[in-house]
Amino acid sequence: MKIIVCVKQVLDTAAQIQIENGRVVSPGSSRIINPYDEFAIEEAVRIKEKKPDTEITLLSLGPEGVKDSIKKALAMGADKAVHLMDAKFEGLDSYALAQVLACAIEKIPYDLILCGRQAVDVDRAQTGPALATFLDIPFVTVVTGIEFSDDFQNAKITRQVEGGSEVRELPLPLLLTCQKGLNEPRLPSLKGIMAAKKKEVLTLSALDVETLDIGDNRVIEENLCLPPERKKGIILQGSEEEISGELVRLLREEEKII
Amino acid sequence: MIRKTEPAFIAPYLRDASNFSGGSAEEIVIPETSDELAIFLQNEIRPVTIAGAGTGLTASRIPSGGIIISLELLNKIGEVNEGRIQVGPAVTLNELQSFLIPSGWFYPPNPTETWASLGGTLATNASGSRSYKYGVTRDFVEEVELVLLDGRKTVLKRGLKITEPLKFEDGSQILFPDISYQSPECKNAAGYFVRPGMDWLDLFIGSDGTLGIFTKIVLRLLPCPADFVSGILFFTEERSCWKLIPKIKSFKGQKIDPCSLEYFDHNALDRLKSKHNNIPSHSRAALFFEQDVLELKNYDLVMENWYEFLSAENIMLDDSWFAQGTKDIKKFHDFRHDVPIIINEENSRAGRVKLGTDMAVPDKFFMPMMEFYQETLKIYGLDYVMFGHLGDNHLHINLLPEESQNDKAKQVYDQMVDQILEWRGTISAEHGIGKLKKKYFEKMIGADGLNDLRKIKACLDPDNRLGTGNIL
Ligand SMILES: Cc1cc2nc3c(=O)[nH]c(=O)nc-3n(C[C@H](O)[C@H](O)[C@H](O)COP(=O)(O)OP(=O)(O)OC[C@H]3O[C@@H](n4cnc5c(N)ncnc54)[C@H](O)[C@@H]3O)c2cc1C
Repeated sequence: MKIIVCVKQVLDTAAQIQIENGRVVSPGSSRIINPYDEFAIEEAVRIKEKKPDTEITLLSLGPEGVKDSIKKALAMGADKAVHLMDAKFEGLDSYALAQVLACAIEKIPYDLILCGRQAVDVDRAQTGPALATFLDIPFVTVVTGIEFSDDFQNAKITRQVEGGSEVRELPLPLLLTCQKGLNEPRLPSLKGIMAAKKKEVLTLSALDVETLDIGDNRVIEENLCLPPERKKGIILQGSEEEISGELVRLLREEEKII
Repeated sequence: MIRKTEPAFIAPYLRDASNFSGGSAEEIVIPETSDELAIFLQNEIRPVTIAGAGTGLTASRIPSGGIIISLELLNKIGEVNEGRIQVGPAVTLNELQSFLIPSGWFYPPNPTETWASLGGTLATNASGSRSYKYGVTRDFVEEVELVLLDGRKTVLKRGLKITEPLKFEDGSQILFPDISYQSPECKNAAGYFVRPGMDWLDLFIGSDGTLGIFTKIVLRLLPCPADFVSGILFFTEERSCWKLIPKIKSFKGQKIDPCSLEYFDHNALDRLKSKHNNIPSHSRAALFFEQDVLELKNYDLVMENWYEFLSAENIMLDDSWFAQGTKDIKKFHDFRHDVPIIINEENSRAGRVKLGTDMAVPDKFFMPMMEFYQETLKIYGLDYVMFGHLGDNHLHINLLPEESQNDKAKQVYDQMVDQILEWRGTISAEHGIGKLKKKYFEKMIGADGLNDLRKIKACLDPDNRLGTGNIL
């Protein structure tokens, strides 16, 4: 089986961010694999463990620094990677991005494409479905379980829905966007890390993927701001009587609610 | 200056991370500057206990009477200047570490509890996983502003030896007493630090709130390593893990040169599985290691050295974890931090009081120590968790007795103290004596030793009013 895993690099979710001139800045913070994409990588590796002739290709779009995330995903067990890097790709919206990915994928054979449910930086959740649409293959989003038929031609997919789950059976090829709960991503083993150094990473530009007509589908950020700071909580301590007395006093005198 | 006498206001300060209850105080005083504090103290006659952030494990900030002085308003962080930074004592480790991230500088002492105040970490000479290579808090303190209980103030710099008088702003001075006590040679946080010809500064660091009050602190920083090669190794047998330690140590300063070596026994791993379900099911022990890499260009080489070394050892290498980036490194530190957290949660649910050891021995007793721990724990059949600083021969054994087994647990503890002291180790390598381990401390240094420490105390606090009940 041939699997493509789409991987986006995002700012560490634990980073402390500031906004300067309408842009997010976070000096000294690291970049990580989008956590939902880690479920996708892990799932691909698990499929490969079950079906050893599987080949996993990573597809990642972004600047040079993305190579760090690619390296990690290769260490987790992917076989090779395609890195799409071009100044022209900067600021593209999800539609145009999916178009670029679709063009790149035209040259890579696949049976299954795995994406994360959404990228935790912009939270748009559009790239995966748009990509499937461009490739004209079925897709299922927010996937929490994948089971293949014995011949790996069909898959039973469990997806999260409001208050429960939905199970669908589909033929491959297929695109899935992965949700938390699908698996627990592994940390790379030392062997994996050593092996990753020798794996192939192909870097392609806009010209290479022949996406000259992506046009001006760009997102222009008008303004960004941090959410308003929440007031600090107060913890009352002491006996029940002391606490309730103090609580009433606070509500009455300071908050003026009662 | 804030002054409060309401019990509800005082109550939170009568607690720390030990289960000690029964503290009391008449008043809490919160100064805004060190001058204000000094003037206040000149006119005060009641016993005084200093409150840091209250993460201490020995009840040392919990007073039995008198007043509490909280330094929480002395919380300014200065700028980094030539590898030095000035901080107020109330700045937490957490705040300092976040502040330093964009600066490219690094404060190596990393006690697991990052909500500790820096003043508290000086008072307890706190240490962390990275102390194995970098050293403890003491090694990174350059200068402090110190206030004595009588309100006298001084700026104490590195290099001022106890052979010289300690001078104060008002022109008065104090001489170091003539004593013969010396601190043990292993990692140690029990009692005052005393070595011939040492700096005055070192006497106050680790004095557990009993000799002086830190009101400003200048810390020494190191350039931040470019990265860490870091992993959690799993073993099918505990002994395979122990055997690795002397080997790793024999490389010190060479290709394999970790800054942390932290141990998890099978009981720790069993508990960690509730939060980390990727732990290999047949593992019986784990070792968290990290090696600092100063320049990025050396990263691959360090990684290869570890690969070569570990491939030949008895490790579950394919199931072990290796960090790729700071997020994973943080994950590993959280993994380590989760052990005491899970145990504490478990204890409060079960209404159980844990009895935790904090002992260390000199290097040559490492293997005998591990064998001794294992055998002793087997004989008594108590539930326990063993984890901690394997590289420093310093383990935390948390004894987790049922209520009916409390006496048994004390017996185990006593037996361990006896053996550790026979090996010239310490009963507290990290958390200090405070109010909870005095009985054992006396056993450790004897009546003569205690007398010597009392002479030091008498020079600086003749009425024994500061941190009363701690250590002595
Ligand atoms: C989960 C957990 C993990 C821990 N891990 C570690 C660890 O890895 N390594 C380690 O060393 N410790 C550890 N500790 C213990 C604790 O965090 C340290 O002892 C810490 O240094 C205490 O700092 P604090 O600000 O909370 O001090 P407090 O508990 O508030 O006070 C401790 C002592 O310091 C004195 N003091 C505080 N501020 C000053 C000051 N400005 N001047 C003079 N005296 C002062 C107090 O009077 C008291 O005697 C851990 C604790 C917990 C709960």
